[in-house]
Amino acid sequence: MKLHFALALTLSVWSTFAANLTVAAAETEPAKAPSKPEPVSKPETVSKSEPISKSEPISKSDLLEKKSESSQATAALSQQSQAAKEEVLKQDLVLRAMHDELKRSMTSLKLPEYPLPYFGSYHVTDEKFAQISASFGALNYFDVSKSRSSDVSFRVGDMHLDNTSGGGSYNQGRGGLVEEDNYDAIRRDLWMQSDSSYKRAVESLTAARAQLKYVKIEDRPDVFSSAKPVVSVEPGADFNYDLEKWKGAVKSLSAIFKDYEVIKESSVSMNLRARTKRLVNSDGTLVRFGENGVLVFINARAQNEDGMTVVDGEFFAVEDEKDLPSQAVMEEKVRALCARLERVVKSKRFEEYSGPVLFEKQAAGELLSGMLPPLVVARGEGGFGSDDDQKVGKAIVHPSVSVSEDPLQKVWKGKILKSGWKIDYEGVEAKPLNLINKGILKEVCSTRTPTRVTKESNGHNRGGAPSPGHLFISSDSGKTYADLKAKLIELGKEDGLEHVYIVRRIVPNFLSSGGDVIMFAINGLMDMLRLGGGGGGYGPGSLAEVVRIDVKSGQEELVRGARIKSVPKKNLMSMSVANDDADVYTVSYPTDRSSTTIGMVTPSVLLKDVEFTKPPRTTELPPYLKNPYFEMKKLEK
Amino acid sequence: MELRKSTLRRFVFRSVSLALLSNAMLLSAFPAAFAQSPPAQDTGAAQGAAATQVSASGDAASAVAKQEPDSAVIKAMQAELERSMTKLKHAAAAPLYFLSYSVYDVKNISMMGSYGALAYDQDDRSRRLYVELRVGDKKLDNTHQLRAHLQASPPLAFGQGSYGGGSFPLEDDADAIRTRLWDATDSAFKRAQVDYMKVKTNKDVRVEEEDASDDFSDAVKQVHYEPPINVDIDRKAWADRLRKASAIFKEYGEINDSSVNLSIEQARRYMVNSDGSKLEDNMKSLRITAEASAIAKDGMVVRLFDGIEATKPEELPSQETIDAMVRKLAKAVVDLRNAPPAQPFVGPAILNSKAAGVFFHEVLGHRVEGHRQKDESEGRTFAQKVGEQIMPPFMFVYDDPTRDTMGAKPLVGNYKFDDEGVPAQRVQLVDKGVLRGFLMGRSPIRNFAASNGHGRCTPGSAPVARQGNLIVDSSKRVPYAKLRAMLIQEAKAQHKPYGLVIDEISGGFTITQNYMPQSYSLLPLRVTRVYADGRPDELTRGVNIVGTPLSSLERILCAAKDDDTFNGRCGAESGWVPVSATSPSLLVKTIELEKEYKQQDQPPILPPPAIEGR
Repeated sequence: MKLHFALALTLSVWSTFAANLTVAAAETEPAKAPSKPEPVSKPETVSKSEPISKSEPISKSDLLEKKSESSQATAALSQQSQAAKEEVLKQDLVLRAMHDELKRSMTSLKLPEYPLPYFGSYHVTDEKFAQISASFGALNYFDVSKSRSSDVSFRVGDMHLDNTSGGGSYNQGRGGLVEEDNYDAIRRDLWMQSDSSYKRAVESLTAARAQLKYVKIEDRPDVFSSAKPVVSVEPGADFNYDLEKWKGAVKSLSAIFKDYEVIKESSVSMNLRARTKRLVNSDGTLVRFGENGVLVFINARAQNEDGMTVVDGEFFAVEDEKDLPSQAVMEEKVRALCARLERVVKSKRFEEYSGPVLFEKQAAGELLSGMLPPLVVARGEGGFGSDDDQKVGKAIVHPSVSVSEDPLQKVWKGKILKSGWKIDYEGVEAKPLNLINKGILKEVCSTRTPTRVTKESNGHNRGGAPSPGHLFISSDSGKTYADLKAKLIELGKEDGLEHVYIVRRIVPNFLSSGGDVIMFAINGLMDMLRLGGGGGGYGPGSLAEVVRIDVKSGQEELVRGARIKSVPKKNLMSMSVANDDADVYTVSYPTDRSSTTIGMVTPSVLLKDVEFTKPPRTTELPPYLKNPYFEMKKLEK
Repeated sequence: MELRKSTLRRFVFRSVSLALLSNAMLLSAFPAAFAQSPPAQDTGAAQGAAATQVSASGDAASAVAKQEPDSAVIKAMQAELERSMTKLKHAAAAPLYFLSYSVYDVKNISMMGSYGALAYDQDDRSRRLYVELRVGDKKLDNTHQLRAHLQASPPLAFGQGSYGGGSFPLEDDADAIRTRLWDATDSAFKRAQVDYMKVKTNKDVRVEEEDASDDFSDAVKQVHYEPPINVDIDRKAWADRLRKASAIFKEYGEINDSSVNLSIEQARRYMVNSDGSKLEDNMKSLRITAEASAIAKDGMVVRLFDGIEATKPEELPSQETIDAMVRKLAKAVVDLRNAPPAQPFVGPAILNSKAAGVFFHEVLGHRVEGHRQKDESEGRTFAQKVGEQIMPPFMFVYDDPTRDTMGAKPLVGNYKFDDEGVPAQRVQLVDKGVLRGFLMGRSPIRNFAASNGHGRCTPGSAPVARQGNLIVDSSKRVPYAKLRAMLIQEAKAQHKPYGLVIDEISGGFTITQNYMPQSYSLLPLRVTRVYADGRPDELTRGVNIVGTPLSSLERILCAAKDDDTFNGRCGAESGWVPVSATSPSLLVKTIELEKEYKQQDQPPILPPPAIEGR
């Protein structure tokens, strides 16, 4: 079965903002399934209102009545709602195949001498995906692909000890399914994956039990927790993009680089995606929803006469194409990128530095996306619990700083947050969290796998691992950006430094998922290897715009080639955070299962102890010849 | 079987000259089955760079006779090539003396039916660039092999002057095309300078090479144009055919995985080089394949496949023909699943015609690829044996890429110009059992100074000498029934309880380097025991054929009158290329079988859902 392995970033996992509750009571015709999942009854867009109470059992009629009242569109599974669920299964052939094969597996999939699974789940994701890429005004890649993939998991044993204990496998059966809605063919594929998954689970369980005979583990957490079953059926995603229009837009953006001779290499790429996700588990959970995503990636590389290359980029990531900036705004951003690269590539070469650094808004978002999330997600999943005790109840950042998390929030100060979800990967409803309050860690993002500090899920499993969705960083220090800048200079003077630094921009790590940056990196690396040297440029995650400030005169000067060597974690305890310039940044967050994004609402931050290292010593010579386009242009003049 | 594939892939990465012949169910890269007839003239050896040959062909050949390639792509490539040759010639220490650009515009259609459903229906298009850049001179250039201690690193392959990969404009935009070529040329030029310095030092510090041939040969300037083609099919009708055919497998509960596939691949090639050659032509390939697998009680996965090749959509098989192929395949898989596993064995065997073709592809074909004869890391089994008897005098072997059919069967190793722009030629490799020649690209070897049009690659890779249509012939032939009787006779003479018939083969591989055992392995799917005492034949499964080349070729006893062709794809250092191997069935005095790797999983615990309760 062919699987789609795109370089593109996962837009968001289980984001379900456009909720339509669509449980139907109508008689159905199960024989022929639609090619695209339809709502099981006529979809009714639901206005925003209070979620359905989680403790209240909800009947089918309840569901139908409350659908106009609730944007949550989920309901606790009860005896009464069973009939509604059966109606859904009649209408969605894929869900029915998943449900029926899971039911058969849970009651019959068993080797002699070994138990039946105590928990099982099937995820099936339909995806249609388009990639458009252009360089120098011409299309160089265009592809539209379709896939249906599955993730089959079984747990054998019990919640205290099962096949996942001791690091054993859980998601053992990933694969592809037929793309067509064919009941027999889908069940055939799930049957084979279930067989393999169960057998691996039995082996892992035996290994875990054997291991426990010879090791003693204090305070060993359970390996799984209960969760309320959820029934939520929404329409699948439509792939209704005007690809010809977007091809033109991408080409047009890429042609802007023809105005900038200093840019040696550039590309503009666009990914357009429509996904329909389905989940069925043995608790009775049954979920279907659609999600769309549109990404525009712009990458560029310039080279100084001394050989140093500088890379920068821009991107736009939205769920709905209507939320993309206008073509004019994107063009403006590309021109700004080119102008920035022109300035940076001609600027002075950076030397070494160690001391305080002010990370301005976007740079702060990129920096903190690598430092904060690991501190606020449950650790110790897998294995027999982690020895790395998390500091719940203890200070982990400066007392003026608070951090909250809310995957359900869709907008912040009029700006769209794109990394949320309503029901997580395990079918658990997402909850907002106050992670850090005045410097103290209060709670962490958790999944159904307990750890020493979490007993149950708060709906933060994204693709198999705990992750935040929207992190909001705030400060009650009352300091403005101007205060932070003054403090930076003051710290420099105290340390006896001649200069201090501001990082205005970090090359977004997000761009590394766009494809062409990877190509840059691979080509660049291969070139360097052939030349026998090391890397000459610096790519995603490196510093794109760094300003040196003379502590005496306050004079600012752009420098190039600075690279972060270290940012010790202790900086978080002494960090200063502005409270007047927070903005929204979408950053990448690779969990152990899938690359996802986080929406970071971050102000500028001042860190006291940062070390920068020198630019790479080995660089490639500039090209022997001029780009033929610019050469001809010059001749024409 | 999945693990078997993985194992082979690992070998591919370890060993640059290892080759694998297989059908589409293993790795496939790109078929290059040229549809047109061979060029009229026989160019023979290189006639000097000054000569020019102009040809045109295709459905509208008469209308475009002597038309030269002049598309926007060719023009942009030509302009950048001329600029680079002029300005880079003496831009660095080592002079640029040869430059070639190849762009392949590749379009694929892939459809798969599985269990009555359309599993996928996809198409894609890409353009792939290959730049070959040489500095120094043809006697010694940057592509010369670097020799190293094994402990340090494996010796480098040829083609270091190449630059492939990366994106290339899909549109005929001269600015974008020239910008891409400029960037690729600059990278290749810098790398070539470094490589050339390494080559010179390497020559100074290592012993003299056994073959001191030049690094590059002259070739006649070629100008060739074919009108563009567009192979398309009725997707909806074919989706229905694949659904219907694949649903047949639902009748066979023992089969756990199956599919019926349609694959159409076409490419338009644009090539210019500093010899003045300009080519703009087409390649295409169509095939229907079916594959199915089952798990035997001992955990062995048995997998069989079948396929039908075509050169145009009208030649693709009917529903009835596809259904018949699927039913035959399904029954064969079930029979094989229930057959006992074979045991290690040495004794007489008949290699049925397709298996014999693969045998020659691995045992002889890869070892007569020209560049291997001067590669110091290669075994060079036949380098010094030209004019010597290497197999019985009734055997003949040649490679003929100009041939497009064998009987009614298309030969997928057919092409008109190779990937270095040299016209394809028929090459007699073995005549009356005596080795006569090698397959040559533009890398000369001792006594073989010119290309014979066998420089091949997958788009974006550096070409080296490869096989096209390998054809085995014999002057000692008997009816197949007689050959079988001779097998029994031979088994008795060797006091063996049975001889073997090998009649289904998934592929094979061979190791040609001298730092590894220079052996070959064939991967038979169906092995039948033919008992000497008259007991009924017994189907077995789960063995590989192993051996070394020189001794294997000497043991051929006789051939049958039943030539057949194996069409497949061969992977080596220049990527995957379509090849065919045609042979009669051969009786071999002794063959050695070893057990193959077997998966350890039990068959599925539950029956297939579709047949549960039947």
